[in-house]
Amino acid sequence: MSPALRVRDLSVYFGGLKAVDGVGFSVEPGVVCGLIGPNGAGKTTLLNCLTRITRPTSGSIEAFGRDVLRLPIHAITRIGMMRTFQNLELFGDLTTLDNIAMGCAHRFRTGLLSELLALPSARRAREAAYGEAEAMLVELGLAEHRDRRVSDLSFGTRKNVELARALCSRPKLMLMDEPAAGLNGAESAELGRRIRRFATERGITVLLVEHDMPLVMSACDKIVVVVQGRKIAEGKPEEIRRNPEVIDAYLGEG
Amino acid sequence: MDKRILDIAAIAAALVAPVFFGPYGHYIMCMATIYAMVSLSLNVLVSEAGLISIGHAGFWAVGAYGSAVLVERVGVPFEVSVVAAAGLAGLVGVVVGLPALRVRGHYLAIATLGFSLVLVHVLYEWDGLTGGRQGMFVQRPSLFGWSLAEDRQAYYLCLAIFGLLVLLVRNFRRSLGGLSINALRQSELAAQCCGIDLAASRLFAFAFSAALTGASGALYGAVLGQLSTDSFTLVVSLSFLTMAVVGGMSSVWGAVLGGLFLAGAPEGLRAFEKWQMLIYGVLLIVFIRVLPKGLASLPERLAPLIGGRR
Repeated sequence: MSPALRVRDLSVYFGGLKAVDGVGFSVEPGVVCGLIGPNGAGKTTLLNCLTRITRPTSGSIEAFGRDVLRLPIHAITRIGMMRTFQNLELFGDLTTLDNIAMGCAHRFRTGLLSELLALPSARRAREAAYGEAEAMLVELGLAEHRDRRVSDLSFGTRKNVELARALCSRPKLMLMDEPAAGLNGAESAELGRRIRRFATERGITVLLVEHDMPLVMSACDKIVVVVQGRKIAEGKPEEIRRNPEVIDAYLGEG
Repeated sequence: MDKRILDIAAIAAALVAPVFFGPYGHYIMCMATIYAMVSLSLNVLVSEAGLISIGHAGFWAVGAYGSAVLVERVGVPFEVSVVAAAGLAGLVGVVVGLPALRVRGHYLAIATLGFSLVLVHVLYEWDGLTGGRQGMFVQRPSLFGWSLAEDRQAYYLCLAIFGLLVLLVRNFRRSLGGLSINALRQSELAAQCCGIDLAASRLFAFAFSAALTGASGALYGAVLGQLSTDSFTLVVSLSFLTMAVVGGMSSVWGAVLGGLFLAGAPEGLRAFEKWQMLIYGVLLIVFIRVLPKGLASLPERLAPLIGGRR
């Protein structure tokens, strides 16, 4: 079986700056993989390559055996990849429910003509999408915010909405960019349990970019460490914790 | 819901209004309805898709001349020509939109402006088809054998077509496609990650808006009875934008108020004819600063004042 994600020799140069420099790793299906490193190590750039926002200078990316670099950005979700954003990318003027429904809208869309004429097929598609969104709304405990504009919600709640939207697309591979940023200790621990459940109950493969070390150590099956665009280590959490090079470059003493 | 009652009351008022006015009033009502269609099309483009056009007079011209040429030179029935004019304008919208897709904001505005200027020039020079500087006459349409010689009758045709376009726009707003285009305006990145094809969606919004304006143009030519390229200048495009902003971009009510404004303004401003563009410009700025959601948002803005402070 092909891995959920395989990155080979990936490099991204911005002018003379090597933001990502020959990084390679793979993630097996159902595994939660952490991607850690100091600020400016190239983690977000790497995620942006995976979701076709940034074009890599060289290297290859495969997801479920498909060549990701040959897909346009909007086709990424059709092969089961979905991401969340470090600084949140929500549709501020839309309601919580609308935002979540956007996660699965692409799976139900009929043609534009049928939508203009409000044909039964288009109406059924809308109902089906909103049905799934409603279920996800309840599952993530967002029911009380259903009809509120997301820009009026608190930061923590908005993070939750983004997560609900991502899950609603039924991803096989979820890329999460610092989901714990701005959360307190208890919220972060709850997030960790949730991520574990994605993997065990839904079989979702997770690539988790995160600075919150307790979360990474408890939630991840394996960890990839990048420093200044280069991969310096890869392994199980306990191996990473003891790796002198990682301690030196990133974790520090403690 | 009281909102529904308000809608029904408005429809009833629109239906009985001709009783209270003479022929000139009927003509103004026709124009108001025709302008309201353009306002509706700009609502879709600006408010839903977040794109801007200062060349909508160009699409209006495509619809007007398209319909007139089909009726006068080819002999197509008027009702068919309206649909064809909308389709043609939509197609031109795609052609204009394709290169324009790579640019946004001011650049897109300039691209649409360029299109409308070139188009008007071509229509002016194309004597054989459009009558060039003399313009062309358009006969009053008859609909399924019914003559629409009087403006009162033409008004009901305009109203019916406006109703159809409103239905299309409402369907669009309520569909997953409408939701997607709305989402795209708010976060391109997230929307694309949610599987939305940015180029196709933008192109559709552009073409849809152009088609609505094209249908309006077809009726404009038929009601006016003659066409000249003077009706499709930059000034007209700008007055369209002013109308859409003054009425309000986010509802059908806004489109109707915008239409009434643009049809009524020349009458009210007759004494200030030279100053018309200046007045439009000032209105545009005042509305964007003071009442950005247009006249349609007045009730919700005034409600707290009338109802007293909580």
